[in-house]
Amino acid sequence: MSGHRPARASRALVLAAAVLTLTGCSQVAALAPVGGDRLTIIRFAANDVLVEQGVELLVAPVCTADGRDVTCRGSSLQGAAITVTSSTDDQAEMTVQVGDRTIYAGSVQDVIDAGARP
Amino acid sequence: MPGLSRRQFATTVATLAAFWALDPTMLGNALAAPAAPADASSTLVQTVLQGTAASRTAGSGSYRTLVAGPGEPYVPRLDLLGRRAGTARSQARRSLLYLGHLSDLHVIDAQSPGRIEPMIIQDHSAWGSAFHPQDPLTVHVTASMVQSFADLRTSPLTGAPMGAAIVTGDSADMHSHLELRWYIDILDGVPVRPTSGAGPLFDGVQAWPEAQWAYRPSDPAGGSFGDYGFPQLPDLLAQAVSRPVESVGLPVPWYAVYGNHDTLMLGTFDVSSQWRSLAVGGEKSFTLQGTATTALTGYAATASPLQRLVDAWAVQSGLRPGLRSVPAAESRRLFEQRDFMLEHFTTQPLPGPVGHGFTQHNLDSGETWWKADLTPQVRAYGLDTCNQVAGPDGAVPDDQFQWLKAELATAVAEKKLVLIFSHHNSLTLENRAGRPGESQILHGAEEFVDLLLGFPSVVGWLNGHTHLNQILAHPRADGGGFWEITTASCIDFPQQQQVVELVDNRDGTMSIFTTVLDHASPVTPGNTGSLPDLASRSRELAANDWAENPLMRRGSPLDRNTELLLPAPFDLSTIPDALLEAQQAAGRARLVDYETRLPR
Repeated sequence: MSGHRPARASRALVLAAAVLTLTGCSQVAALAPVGGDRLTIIRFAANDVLVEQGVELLVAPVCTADGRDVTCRGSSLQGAAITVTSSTDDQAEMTVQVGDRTIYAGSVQDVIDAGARP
Repeated sequence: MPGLSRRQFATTVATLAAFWALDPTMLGNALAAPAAPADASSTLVQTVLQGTAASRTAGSGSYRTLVAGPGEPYVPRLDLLGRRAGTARSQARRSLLYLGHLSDLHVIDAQSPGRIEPMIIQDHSAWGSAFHPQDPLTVHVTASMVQSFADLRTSPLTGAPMGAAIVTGDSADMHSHLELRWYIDILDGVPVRPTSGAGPLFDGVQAWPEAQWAYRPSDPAGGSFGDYGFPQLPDLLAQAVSRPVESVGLPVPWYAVYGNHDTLMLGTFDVSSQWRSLAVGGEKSFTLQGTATTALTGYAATASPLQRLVDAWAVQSGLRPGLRSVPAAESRRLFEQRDFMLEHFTTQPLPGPVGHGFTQHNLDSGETWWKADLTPQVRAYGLDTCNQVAGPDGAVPDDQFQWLKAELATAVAEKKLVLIFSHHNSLTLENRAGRPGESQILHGAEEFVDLLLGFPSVVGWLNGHTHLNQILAHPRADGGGFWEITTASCIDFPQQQQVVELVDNRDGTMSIFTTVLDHASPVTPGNTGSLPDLASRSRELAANDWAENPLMRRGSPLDRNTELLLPAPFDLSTIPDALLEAQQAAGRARLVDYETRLPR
């Protein structure tokens, strides 16, 4: 019996691998918890920073991705440009600028966590 | 009621009292009272935040409980207005429609052999939707969320009565008929016994000591959930299945559209014949190997009756590793695509409507999309953006696209305000998977947004799918545009839904107010086994499901309680006050009738 178990296990794994291949790697990758892509998280974090620091918004940052680089652009009610950047080199960090002033440079997740905790 | 004359008011009361079989005097008094904002608890008053980590005693990890936080006021958003909003609008506004928005309820039969929970062993992040520690509590969460909608049946902003509710898909998690039935019953106010098992005990991976990878409330030690500090709750599973869940039911007519979980297995895979056999069969996997040899290869569908008998014996004798015997149950059958529509016709007459948006035409034609006038001024289009072949994301098929294009032209000509309802949002509308030989064009987000922007009557697009609160502006080049409003889910933290109100600011602009709803349960769960405590427990477990990045899903303040301004698409003063007041009187009469039917 013991000799059969590895054979059965390996057969199952081969079958599983075959099925996963047939269903398509892209499908399996797409199973990742819906939402929560990098662009969305950076947008949330940037908005958190802007609201926290009392920036009056005319246009909230609109984010676009170029590869793993994310850039978001908006404007304040006073006419200042808002720019949010998060580069491939350091995906966990972002910089938020209002006009020439940098109002945040640091961890994205720290902002998300702080916004959900007292 | 300045819009209605005394005679019109009396006629309205008499008509509504007769329609709802209510005492005319009682109804007249109720309607004569000025509309006042609801004083029920909402996120305007209190939010739910994550507390500090539990103390690092032996065996505890990063598990955090939840705490109450301050309420969040409405944040004005000017993206589509392009200028400061008029300061007088708060005194001038009148409500056009107050609407409930539910999405991604993910009602789960956690004991079903059709589930593939062990896949999280392979990759927890990738397969996170296959198993959540709070899976046995989804009926309780849905019922508590319905209670929250009932509590806010009048607007917290204007006091207007709720007029309708929309469910934007993913109601049944694993394509189970039972899950579909439970969801409809809870929204209808029908009690649900939330178990598919034969006995009084929970019979699934979370109760089985062999499944150390799962969160097992009676003994979490030994797996990653235990290492993280998930609590020991010996009574939780029994509490989850032992009592019927009583729901107050939604107070207003509710409508539904398809989600990808209502279309494909786990919202992603074809509903195969082997999966159908597995779901109603007598063996449930608790290992990756068992799942590979059942759900993924489907011995049950291809084997002869004799082979299946031998298989069953092998499971019981331990010769088929990774499977345990469970009572077979036909009630766990998987539904066909058309059944999703059909089941919405098995419903209570109130709150209705029968079919919940789907009509006989849908059943006859197979079309899975619909339109409905929620009020004389507001028209809704319920779309099916789900891919029928594979993959969680969606697109808009060309037949639906062309139908909507023609419909929107009509809506503009008829001066209707338009709301679009779909499951997918503009960030998840690029799935163009098709069957070989199929030639229908599948339109992606860019084309769809452009279509909507071509018709100024479109003011809002309500959707879900990504389990987070998110609001995006879609501006038109020459000014205006529409708002896209995505609500969170009932399965992942923060387990929030929303109410949406369209108001005329009487200054050439209108606003869409969004108010996030927590389900009606305490911030800190008790161990009584009551419905509110079980729903609360679910939220706390979800807040610690690290694979889902739970905190991110709250969205930012610009995505929660908001006032979304936009130029009115036409002269809203053409809508008489008297018409709106008659409409609100009808809505309030419906709520009075609802209140008379609530349990005392």
